[in-house]
Amino acid sequence: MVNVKKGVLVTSDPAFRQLLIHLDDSRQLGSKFIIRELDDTHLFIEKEIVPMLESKVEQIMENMNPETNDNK
Amino acid sequence: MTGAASKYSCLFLDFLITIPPNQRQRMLQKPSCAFFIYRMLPPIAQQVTIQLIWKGSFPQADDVEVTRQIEDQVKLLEELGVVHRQSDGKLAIDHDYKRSYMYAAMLGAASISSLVLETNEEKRRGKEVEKKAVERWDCILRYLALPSEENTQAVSETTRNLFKMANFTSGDSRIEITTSGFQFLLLSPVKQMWTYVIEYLKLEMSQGHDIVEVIEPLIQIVLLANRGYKAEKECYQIDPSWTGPQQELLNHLRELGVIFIRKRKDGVFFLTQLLTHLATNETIDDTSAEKVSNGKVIVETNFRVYAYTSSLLQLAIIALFTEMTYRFQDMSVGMITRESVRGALQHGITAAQIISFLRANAHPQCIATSGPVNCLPITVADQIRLWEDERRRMDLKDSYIYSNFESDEEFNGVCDYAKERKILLWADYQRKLVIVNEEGHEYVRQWYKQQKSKGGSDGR
Repeated sequence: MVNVKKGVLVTSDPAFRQLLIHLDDSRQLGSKFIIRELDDTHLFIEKEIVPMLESKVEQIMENMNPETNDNK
Repeated sequence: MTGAASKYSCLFLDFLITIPPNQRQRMLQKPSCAFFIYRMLPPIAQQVTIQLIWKGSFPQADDVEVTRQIEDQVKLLEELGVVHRQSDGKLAIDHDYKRSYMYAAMLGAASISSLVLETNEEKRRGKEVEKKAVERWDCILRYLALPSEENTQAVSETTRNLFKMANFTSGDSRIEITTSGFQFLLLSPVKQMWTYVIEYLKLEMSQGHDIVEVIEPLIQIVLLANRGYKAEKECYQIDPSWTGPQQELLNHLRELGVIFIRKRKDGVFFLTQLLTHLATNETIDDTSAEKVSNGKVIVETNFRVYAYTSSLLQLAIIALFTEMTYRFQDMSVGMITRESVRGALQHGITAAQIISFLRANAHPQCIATSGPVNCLPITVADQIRLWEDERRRMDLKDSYIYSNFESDEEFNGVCDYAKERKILLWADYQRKLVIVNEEGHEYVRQWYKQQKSKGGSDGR
């Protein structure tokens, strides 16, 4: 019998996908959230995690930006 | 969303699709409305309509690409109720529409309207029509851009309500501008005016008023722009028999600066230049608007912005995405920085909106030396887009994943069906996985039901 699951399809570049997998492995968001790793640019993840994931990603990207670090 | 997200890139047509069919049919019966709808249609849809009216059919295209374009536009016509698909699959023009369009075409755009022209004898009545019209429109924008006591009093209660209902402003005592409000400010004047008018019509509709009663005089006034106008010399009588909502419409148009009424008791109104904004098809507006710009903004390759204006409104809009550094009497200087642009992006303004705003308001000298596109240095435009892109490293779509298919046929069936319906987001043939978008789930369920009833005995 065919299986159906609701979730969110993430399309990103391979490097970013790797970051998401790292977040998943290290359980930085409290739990695992990737349902399936599809291909180099696609992931299928839990819907509930999205707001948390977005803010985490925002934070990580900010830390990596030298310009904003200079201002601090 | 305002403007940018418009389905057929014409706000008027988009709105028309949403009104109840019986009201729309009544609109199609009015010659002026039929004619105006034709005007606002995209070119291919116009062709199709004309061919259907005169020949009852239209030629097929050989090209696949062109055929798809035609199909899209036929779909638009169907949604508008101008064209019906008959039971045998052939297309036919709506009878009411055909009759009223022919009637209007014979008379010509300006003569369909029942408004009475009057030569202005008294100079006083139409003094400085143009100047005052532009002032009115600025007042409205200023109210949005710079909420303050003074600016609030300059606009009418109805406009304030309108912006609130349209979700451009929020808060009761202290007004705050919302994301859609910001986006509204960055739109081209044509789009702004249409957005305002459409929001007004929506408001009327939500109050249960008869929408046709209001749209008809609106269209009649807009069509008058065709006759050309001699500012300060010609005016039109206000019919005292007009109903409450129709009078209310006049008030709104007056507030917009589209028409000018010095005093209500004059009983006449003047057309102003701003009316052309409503008479143009907005789909072709974007490029033409840039050509006639009298902008005052210079952007240098080092991200410095010089705005040669003292208009608080312009400065307020520029300050949405620029860090202002110096302010002089008639000139201000700012910097476009990562932070300032990100601030704007977080408000929901898009990079494309910022870029098109800067281009549309470029200083004539920049346009003369670098052309209408490069008047904003490419480096700056690209950087603004990059700043937007870095916020969008991932694209998220709500979807459903299907796995564990029992057979290749089942997998291929779902896959092809999803492709056909354009609901397929992703598929893997090796692992037999299919992902469809959110509304696609319902379709796939229907597909399974169909399969079941078709081959109920094949053991699935």
